[in-house]
Amino acid sequence: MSVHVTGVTKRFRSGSRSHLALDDVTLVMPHGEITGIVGESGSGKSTLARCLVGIEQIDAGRIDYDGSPLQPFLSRRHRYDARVQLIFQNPMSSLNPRMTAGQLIEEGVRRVPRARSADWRRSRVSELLEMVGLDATDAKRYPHSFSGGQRQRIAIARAMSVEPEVLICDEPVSALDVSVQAQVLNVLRDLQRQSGITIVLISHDLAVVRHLCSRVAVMFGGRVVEQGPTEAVFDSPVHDYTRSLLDAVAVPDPRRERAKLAEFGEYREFRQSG
Amino acid sequence: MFWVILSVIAALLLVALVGPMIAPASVNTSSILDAFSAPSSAHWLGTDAQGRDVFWRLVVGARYSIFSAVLVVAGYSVIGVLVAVAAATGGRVVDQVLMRVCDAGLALPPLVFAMGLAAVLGGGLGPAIVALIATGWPFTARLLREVLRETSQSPFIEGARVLGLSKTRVMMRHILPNSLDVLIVKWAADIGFVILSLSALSFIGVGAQPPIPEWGALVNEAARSTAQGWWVIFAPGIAIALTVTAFALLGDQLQARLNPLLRTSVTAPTVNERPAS
Amino acid sequence: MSPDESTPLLEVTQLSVAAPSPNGELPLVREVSLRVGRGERLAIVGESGSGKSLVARSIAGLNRKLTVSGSVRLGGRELLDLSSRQMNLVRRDRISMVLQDPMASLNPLMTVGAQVAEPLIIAGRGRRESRDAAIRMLDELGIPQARSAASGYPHELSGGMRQRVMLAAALIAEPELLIADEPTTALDVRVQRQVLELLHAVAAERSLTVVMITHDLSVVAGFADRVATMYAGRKVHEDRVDRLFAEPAHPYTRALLDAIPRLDDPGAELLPIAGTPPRPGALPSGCSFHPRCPRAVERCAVDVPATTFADDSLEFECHRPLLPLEVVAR
Ligand SMILES: Nc1ncnc2c1ncn2[C@@H]1O[C@H](COP(=O)(O)OP(=O)(O)OP(=O)(O)O)[C@@H](O)[C@H]1O
Ligand SMILES: Nc1ncnc2c1ncn2[C@@H]1O[C@H](COP(=O)(O)OP(=O)(O)OP(=O)(O)O)[C@@H](O)[C@H]1O
Ligand SMILES: [Mg+2]
Ligand SMILES: [Mg+2]
Repeated sequence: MSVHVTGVTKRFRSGSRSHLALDDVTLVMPHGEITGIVGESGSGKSTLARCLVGIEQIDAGRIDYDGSPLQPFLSRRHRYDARVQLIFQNPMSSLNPRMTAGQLIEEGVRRVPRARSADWRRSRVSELLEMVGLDATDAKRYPHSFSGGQRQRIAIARAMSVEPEVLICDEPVSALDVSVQAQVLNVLRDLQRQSGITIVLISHDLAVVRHLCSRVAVMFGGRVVEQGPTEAVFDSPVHDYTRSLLDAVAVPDPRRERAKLAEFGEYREFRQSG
Repeated sequence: MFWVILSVIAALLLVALVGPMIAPASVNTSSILDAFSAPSSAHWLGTDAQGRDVFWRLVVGARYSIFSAVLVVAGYSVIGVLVAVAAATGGRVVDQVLMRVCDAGLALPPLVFAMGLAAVLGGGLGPAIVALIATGWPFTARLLREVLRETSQSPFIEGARVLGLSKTRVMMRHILPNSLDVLIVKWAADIGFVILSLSALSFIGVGAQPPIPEWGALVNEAARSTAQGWWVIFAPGIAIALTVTAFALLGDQLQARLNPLLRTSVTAPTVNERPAS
Repeated sequence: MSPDESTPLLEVTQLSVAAPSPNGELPLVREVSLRVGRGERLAIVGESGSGKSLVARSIAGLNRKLTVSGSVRLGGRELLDLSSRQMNLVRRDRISMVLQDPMASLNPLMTVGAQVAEPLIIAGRGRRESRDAAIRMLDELGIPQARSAASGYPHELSGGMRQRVMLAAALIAEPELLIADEPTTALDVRVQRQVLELLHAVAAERSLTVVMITHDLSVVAGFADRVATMYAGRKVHEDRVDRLFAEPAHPYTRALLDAIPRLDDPGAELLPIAGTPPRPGALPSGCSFHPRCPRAVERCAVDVPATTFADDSLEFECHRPLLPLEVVAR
């Protein structure tokens, strides 16, 4: 399912103050691709994610999935459209601590129309756990007994249980150590390759986005300042902000990093002497 | 520690359950000749003004005191939970109305209100129980409503909603179970408080009345004759204090044990977790 | 005490930290030794829970509730034996710390200037003088309109500015040793770069000795002279920064580097480290890393590897190291 965001505006009001969190955002997320959204804290990335799934109502503009808007009020019982799912940043607080991994995933599996038989549901839970690189026996364990990376993969399995067509991941790895963040990123990449699902990956880590996404949008102060194919945006950024963002990224290469720091040292000396 | 408290509570409940069956038949018959005999091997805690054995009266009374209290707490908890859940799921208007009703209930001094109500209902153990239930539920409802509100803002609740789960399911499976912790502590502590309240109602004459050996009633009777036998009032007093403390401690312990998050200690696998940026 | 030129400024020997638990002492840091010379910069890296912060806090004498043993010497003087009063003096005059969360470590009710000046005032300098010094320091750290910023409160500042304020407060008393525990972790990419550049510049200008702790190897690549890797409470690897990045001798450091997505090499396969780090108190037999190690052989599950000093900068604990060419050639 492709996602088209057109002229979306979202304003938060608190008392007499109001804050424009999304300012005329227009974006394309093509079907079956991973689109990255980068930008600094407060630039509106999470707000956009929440608008995409319908947790927040937008003030203006439209969000189309394959040409038509979400149908959040399909029925009184089901308030959200399960075709679009969201993964949150913090894997500890995004899973109910009182339910086992299996119960959490089964809840979603139940929503699928063919989930009549208990056997089918059970085998589907195992299948989902294995899809994210966990073991079927892990179904009996509670969230707190998993590591952060494993919990995040449970969250992915759960989101996938309702067979969504779009998966929105809001900083899915920024709470994780590098050693486990790679697990989660690989799961997302395999998911996109195997089930052809559309993924939106929000991250402040440009290397993660470059690694995984075919398209990228750069946000700044509630606006999208630049978007396009990842290669194009990263190799020849047009907007100053994008360029400064790319320059700032630290790379695990002592020589290059030292050169950057030395450059600043010279600049500082120059400023202090003059 | 937990097991000590649990054994004390278990012992109390056991006494309440089987006490009346093992008590000697003489427990309710008065023999004025034996009045106010001091604690001895025949009467461990002495006898009261009518020559009845204080220890056995206490044992028999445990059933009235403890079971009535459990009944009261269970009663107002069920009502309170129902009201809170209805308020949380029923929409703005229902929420507002129910909470204003609660506020009205909270504005009245509970014990005074219970006394009045019990008196209107004619006095006795039954009316006392009904009165305490009627005054107790708004506390539960109000507290739980706040906790439900807080829990429903956790990310995992949002996650459950986005998954498209129905409102009832989100409430019953996700919000409610993660909100009851606070209540469990309250329940345990409340049992003690209700035992006290029941005793108070008996003491001023609108609760259980003689010859029912409810502990408050025992204190009430004994208060008329403290000069002749201190043990008569001392025994039920200690029993009440002990029971109240035991239940309060139980509440604290339960809270720590029932929550899987609190159960994880130093060695918890919170590794790999970094503060959000 | 006259500091001998040959003794390192900071010398940590066999430092262990344990927490009391129902089943006896739980070892959190196990016999870690470090040497940092004057003006040198050491980075300590490792996954979350590996004990990095505990080492840092032990050096600064902040682990009063845990059992700390071994030795921490600053300029030849033993710190672990000091009373908490004497340790306060050491922290006032010689050691400063910068922590990850600048908001939690700044007092919301005190003006920025007062907080930066505080170390000087405690040290008995005059109010006016301290305040002027604070403003100069804030200015040096690139805070615009330092004079008016000094009379403002922490909440009026952005995260990066707050981290600069923390740095100003840490540097104003001219410490010999600066300990920075994840100083850039909570910050945005661009702000992270600014703080890093600043830290580098001021440390260079004052020839500060720095111990920097981070889980992000990229952050220390250009900053540190040497890097020590910790795993499950032990220092398992230490080397000069260039060689550690180019030819990591320890498979764990190698695995950490292979797991990082690289902006300069986006096509590279990301190799996660299998499994999770062990919990303290439930360490695997032999080498603690062996269950996750791609190079592990039978022996790794049995024998605890001893520390090997390969040359004057490389040390590691591993049965099957990936020895750098330079070392093999010798
Ligand atoms: N419910 C809300 N009420 C008021 N303001 C809000 C609300 N949610 C977000 N904002 C504001 O909207 C802006 C954008 O926030 P958002 O969370 O989308 O940023 P972000 O790009 O996700 O940042 P981060 O990287 O820190 O997660 C911020 O200034 C934030 O304070
Ligand atoms: N006061 C304490 N009591 C008991 N255990 C502790 C205490 N402080 C830390 N620990 C445990 O010691 C281990 C190492 O903690 P430490 O904070 O040093 O890790 P770290 O390497 O700094 O990790 P991070 O990158 O998450 O900051 C962890 O398992 C932690 O749970
Ligand atoms: Mg966000
Ligand atoms: Mg730490």
